[in-house]
Amino acid sequence: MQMAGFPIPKVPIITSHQIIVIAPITGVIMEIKKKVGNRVKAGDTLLILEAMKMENEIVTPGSGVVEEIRVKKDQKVKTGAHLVVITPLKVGK
Amino acid sequence: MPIFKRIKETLERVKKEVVKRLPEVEVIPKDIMAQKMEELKKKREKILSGGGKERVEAQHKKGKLTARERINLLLDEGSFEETDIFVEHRAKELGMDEKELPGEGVVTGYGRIDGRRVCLFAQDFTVAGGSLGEMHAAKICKVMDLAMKMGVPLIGINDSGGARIQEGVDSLKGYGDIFYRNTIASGVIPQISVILGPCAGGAVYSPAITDFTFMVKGISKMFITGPDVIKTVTGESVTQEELGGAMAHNQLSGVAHFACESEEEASNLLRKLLSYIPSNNLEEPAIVDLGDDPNRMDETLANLVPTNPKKPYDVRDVIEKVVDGGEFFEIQSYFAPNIVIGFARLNGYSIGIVANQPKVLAGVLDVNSSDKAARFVRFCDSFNIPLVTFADVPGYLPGTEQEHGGVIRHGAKLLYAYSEATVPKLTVILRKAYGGAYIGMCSRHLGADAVYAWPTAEIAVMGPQGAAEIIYKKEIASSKRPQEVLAEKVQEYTEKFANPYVAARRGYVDKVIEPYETRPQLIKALEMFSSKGESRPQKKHGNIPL
Repeated sequence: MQMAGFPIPKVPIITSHQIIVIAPITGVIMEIKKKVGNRVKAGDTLLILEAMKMENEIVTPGSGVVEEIRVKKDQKVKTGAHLVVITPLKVGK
Repeated sequence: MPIFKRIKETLERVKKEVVKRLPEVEVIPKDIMAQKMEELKKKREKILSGGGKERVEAQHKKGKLTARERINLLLDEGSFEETDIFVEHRAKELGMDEKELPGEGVVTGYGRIDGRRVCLFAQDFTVAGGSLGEMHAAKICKVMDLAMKMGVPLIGINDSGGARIQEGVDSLKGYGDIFYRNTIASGVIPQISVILGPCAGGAVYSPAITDFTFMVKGISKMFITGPDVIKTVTGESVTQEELGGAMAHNQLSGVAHFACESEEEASNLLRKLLSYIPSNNLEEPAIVDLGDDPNRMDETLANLVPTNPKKPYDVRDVIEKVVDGGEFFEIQSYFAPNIVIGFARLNGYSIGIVANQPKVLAGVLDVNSSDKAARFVRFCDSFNIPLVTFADVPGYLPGTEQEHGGVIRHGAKLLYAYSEATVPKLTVILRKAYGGAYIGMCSRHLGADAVYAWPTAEIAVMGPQGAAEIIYKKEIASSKRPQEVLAEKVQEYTEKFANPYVAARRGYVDKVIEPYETRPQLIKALEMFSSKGESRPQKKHGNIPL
């Protein structure tokens, strides 16, 4: 359980050198759509997270290259879990 | 003729004497009038130049406009009438007796937006950092009172360092007077806050009470205590933008409703927003004909919502195909995006839309989405804007975080707000409507005037899978082929209950309609219920679970 006063992050963690896409809801990874090294555009679906009777599409908020996928198919994940790490492309590239 | 000469001489003498005795009778020489005009002109110029050239330049360097530039950008050209330009502070302590603050650090007045009257104030950061003192607040209160007397919207442009410390408790009094007026005016006139600079400490509570808050990325900052205090008290280091910037309050806290890229964009959005709402609670919103045929039927609607209830889609696509000209003015798009709220038009009539968003978190109701929708429903009800609800909701979000976060009392707000609302309430059930969330999304039971369901609707206590697992638990467990039995039972439940017809047989759903009939059907209902009159028992006010 989370401690009071430390809310679970619900939105991707975006810094200048990486984007960490998180699970917005507790569920099961149904399908992983991208591979490490793939280039992705903002809005692209990275994986499908089944939760609340829905196949939720988890998208990337920014463009870049998939650096790391931290989950496997059929894995249960909790809200806030880090799913995918993306290295953003520098502006202009 | 000596006699005449003598009379003439006497008259001359008397005349001279009179003039000598009554010098004030003398006509004021023209140069004095000119002097007075010159004095007025100078005073005006000085006040209108705000904090002076250097400070104005500093403001521009930060990418910010001055108070008067902001007003001119927002209002119809040449419509601004400034009030109280000569007001001065009367503080004497801490060197204040020697300070001259042009306009008291705030520009107040009235003008027009799209021809409609509005009252407004804009804090002037170039004068003493826009700090709020007794007379600064008095100027604001005066336009607030004017707005209430006239029944016109109030717009507050905030750009202030906070309380004017030198004025002590008089400054606090000023804040209190503003909060009090914000509260009394709530639900009587629309109140809109635009944060275009810092708005810290107690000052944040005026925007918080108002109906809509605009912020601009990189410029707006709102917080109770700033990064320095936070660092000292909790040890966290955080930048002003991370703590209280436009995105922090649009995405995380839900304090703000719009995150704009520039001051110009904020101005344009504000003007657009006003077009959907009336000037006060006794008026109806304006009817604006966008030239869209009320009987237009969009065949593509049928393919927008996947029949597989597990597949997500963007409910905004449905909304845009139904409303006039596909124009949907979304509000709070970043906060709790699992529910969508905003304004649109149906056959010219302004409507408030609430819709579950299956694309985000499966469209569940949770603490934040309930808060977001409930406050919007109450706004629409206050200002005679009919409500149209699109339901596709799997239920309330499970989890300790939600339960301990108070999903019970927050979720209750939505039920309360819908039940309390007396404006026309129309509901369209697109797909899922399960359990408590079905009731919460403006069901017939909360007083919906018309409820329509698409043939894809599943109105039930829960989804087929869950229901079959519970009802046939023993049968499934004792079977040699549990998976097959479960599948059979799920199928059976789906056929019997996961449809709109059970609810329609009881009259909870008025009509099951083809998706493309949604627009004409809603317009017919809207016209039917436009004369709706519903009264509530006499009371001071209800006790909404806050």
